[in-house]
Amino acid sequence: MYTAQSGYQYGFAGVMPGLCQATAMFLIGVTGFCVKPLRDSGAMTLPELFERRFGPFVRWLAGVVIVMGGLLNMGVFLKIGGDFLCLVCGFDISNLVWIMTALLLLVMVYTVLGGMLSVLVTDFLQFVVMSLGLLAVTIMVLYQIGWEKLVDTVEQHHGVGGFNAFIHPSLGWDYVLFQIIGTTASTLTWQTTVARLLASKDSATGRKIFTQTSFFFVCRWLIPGIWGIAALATLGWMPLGQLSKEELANVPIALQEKIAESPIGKPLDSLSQEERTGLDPSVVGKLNDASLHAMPKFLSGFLPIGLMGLLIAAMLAADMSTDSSYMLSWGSVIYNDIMAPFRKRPWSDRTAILWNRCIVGLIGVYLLVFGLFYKLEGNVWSFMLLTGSIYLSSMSVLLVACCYWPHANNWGALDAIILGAAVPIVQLTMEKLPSLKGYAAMIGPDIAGIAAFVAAGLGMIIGSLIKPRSLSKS
Amino acid sequence: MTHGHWFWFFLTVSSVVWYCTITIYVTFKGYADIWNMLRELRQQSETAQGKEASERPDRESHSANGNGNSRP
Repeated sequence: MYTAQSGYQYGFAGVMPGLCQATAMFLIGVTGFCVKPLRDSGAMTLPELFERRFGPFVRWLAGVVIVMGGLLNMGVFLKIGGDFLCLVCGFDISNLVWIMTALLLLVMVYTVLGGMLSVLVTDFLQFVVMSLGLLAVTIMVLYQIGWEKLVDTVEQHHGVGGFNAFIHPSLGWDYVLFQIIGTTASTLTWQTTVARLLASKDSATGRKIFTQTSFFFVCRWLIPGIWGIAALATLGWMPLGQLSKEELANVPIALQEKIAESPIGKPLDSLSQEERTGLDPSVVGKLNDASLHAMPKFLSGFLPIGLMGLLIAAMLAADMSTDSSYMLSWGSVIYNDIMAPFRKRPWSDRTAILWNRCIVGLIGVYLLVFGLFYKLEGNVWSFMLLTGSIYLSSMSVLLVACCYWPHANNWGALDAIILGAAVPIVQLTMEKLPSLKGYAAMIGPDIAGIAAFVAAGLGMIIGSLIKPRSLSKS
Repeated sequence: MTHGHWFWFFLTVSSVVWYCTITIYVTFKGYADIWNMLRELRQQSETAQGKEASERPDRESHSANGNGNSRP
């Protein structure tokens, strides 16, 4: 959904994160940068490696920020999955809570009861179904809409910037730089990616995983991105189409005109603060969701019935496999790293399994509550990368320092974790406070994200250098 | 054919071809791997059950005897 939203909102330039991640993965795999020493260390999680170098408190704090960033990041998944199902099936959006609950129960039943084995087998089956659906729809889009129309649409709505993120009016150098830094950091430290590396036979196999799967990230962004562009070619930019007749009647004509002429994906940008506050919150929410909902709306009218069934199965598969593996990934960090200091003696297997099931269950409840109550505005990927930066910034700095800087110490590590998490949290808080919303918009998620990495890097350097040598030796 | 955008055209075609290839490869290789893994797990579980069953009479006679010298 969010990759299609990027294609709809920015054209081919929206594929930039995929290109950055693919390049980062390939180069990291070829050079073995950080991943070789990490795999050779034999650690099972990143915090475990940090404990060896920086002590148990850094391990615990690293676990806390990993879970905080990860859960905020995946908090929107269930809602997006529910939105998609509602729209393609033609259900009213008021049924969202029931669809989200059903989705969650389905995922939790096999994740909690079956554990890793059931996730492994279902992930395999889900990949096959998802890939068949993705390919069938993409081939149909390219065949029926045609390459020329897709290119013309991007040219018409985005101009030259639709093909080049550096010159796109909504993107630019800060966006590209944040994508390069953010995707490189996520390649090195994202829990699900690291879990694959650390579970591999040896570092050479781990590096092969990086090089040979790197192109997947281009596909992951480009294929749904093309669906987004096809949605723009077919439906155009019509944010007011999200509203019911009654809701539309309550929006003054002058505002309707401004909203209709707004830039793609930013329906409220041309309104003043007063005009925005005058709108009903549910109307604002629907208008903000216009770019995210474009792709499923397009597909619901474009695909024949049989293929629609395959697509729904494919998207359900993609959604459920992501949810289940994320639940297990973050559940393992909570159990192994955050709860470790509270276990005086090792727990029995039975107790450990019970606790892990409870943790996965609680993550599921959190997903439901967060998805229902958090109002997401703007581009979903920007939100995800910014929330991810809460831990990506400090964890990547800690990992690089751990592997290549002998002077790094626990003071630097603590400073990096605190500063790296503080910047995105402050930005996310400012975005939600009406009095500071303007400042948050002026800074933007890209500058805030870059600042998080700079702050984490400076924290590591300054903290490590100011620690007295006498304390370092002890 | 590329409509002036060869880079994006080439990338799109490559993505579709690559994805097709990976889907076919993963479907067959993954099926075989999972089949073998499940078979090995079943064998391990059967071996463990068999071991447990053969040890049980030993343990019973051991406890009935009341000392550790009953093993032949």
